[in-house]
Amino acid sequence: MSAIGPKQPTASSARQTKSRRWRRRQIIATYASYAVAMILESIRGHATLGSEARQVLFSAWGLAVLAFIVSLVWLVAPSVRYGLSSRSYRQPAPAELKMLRDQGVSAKQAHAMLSRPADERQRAIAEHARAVSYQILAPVVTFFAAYLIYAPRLLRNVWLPSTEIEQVGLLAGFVLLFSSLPAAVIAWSEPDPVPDDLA
Amino acid sequence: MAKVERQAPKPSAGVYNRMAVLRADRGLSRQQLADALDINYQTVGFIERGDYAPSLELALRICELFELPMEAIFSLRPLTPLSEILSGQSPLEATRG
Repeated sequence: MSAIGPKQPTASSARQTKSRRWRRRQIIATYASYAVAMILESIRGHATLGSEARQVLFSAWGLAVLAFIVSLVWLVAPSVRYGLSSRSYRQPAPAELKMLRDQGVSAKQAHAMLSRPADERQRAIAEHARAVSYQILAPVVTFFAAYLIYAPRLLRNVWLPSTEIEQVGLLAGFVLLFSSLPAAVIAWSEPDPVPDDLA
Repeated sequence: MAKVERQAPKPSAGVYNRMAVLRADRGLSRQQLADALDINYQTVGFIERGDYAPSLELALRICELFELPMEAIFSLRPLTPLSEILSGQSPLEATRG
């Protein structure tokens, strides 16, 4: 006899997962909003502006920062669901949840029961995403390092991070890129969920 | 009338399998099969569609679960439909009587 038997059907967590097009928009929004916030900050630091223009610039900067925070959360969440995390969690069906509750299983125990280490496909996805991230980051870092070294020597009136905010912003941008790029690669490349998967 | 050959589409992972038909035969959902194999339910779907080729370890676990030899479930060449093997003729021939 087979070691498995019929069980209660489970809820579709696929329904909660957004489409690839939506995820791609989030990725673009995350990096674009960060770049916009940094550019506006740089303008605020260098340009001589009136109080009204300064207020408009500050509002735009605030919006860009807000857009960045929101889109970053949305960017990381689907990629964790898609396997960047070392564990995966299965959303239980209401009937299954009720059964567990009736058996006296606590919410913490239920969470432990329904989560499992990432399987081989999910680990392979995460490893591939890290490899792709490295391939993207290596030329970006090399190009930027070359720009910082050679641009002031070869060109006139080039932009260089001169204020403390610009320098910190640039460094934070690289930290963001290093830490979020594997998540972005997964969110960008994983196909739309197949509704049939829970059939 | 010329015989119509039904050619299964080449799976992107390069490995043909009978996972879907075996799972249906046992009356299991993808989630139930995933629980039994200790993998994600989406991985079952990926394997069934031929989008992911399981590791040797996972393939052996699948074979153990279905109590079938490896060559009955996985192949590098298109697999003959089980209905054809059981009836001894292709489904098209069977419908023509």
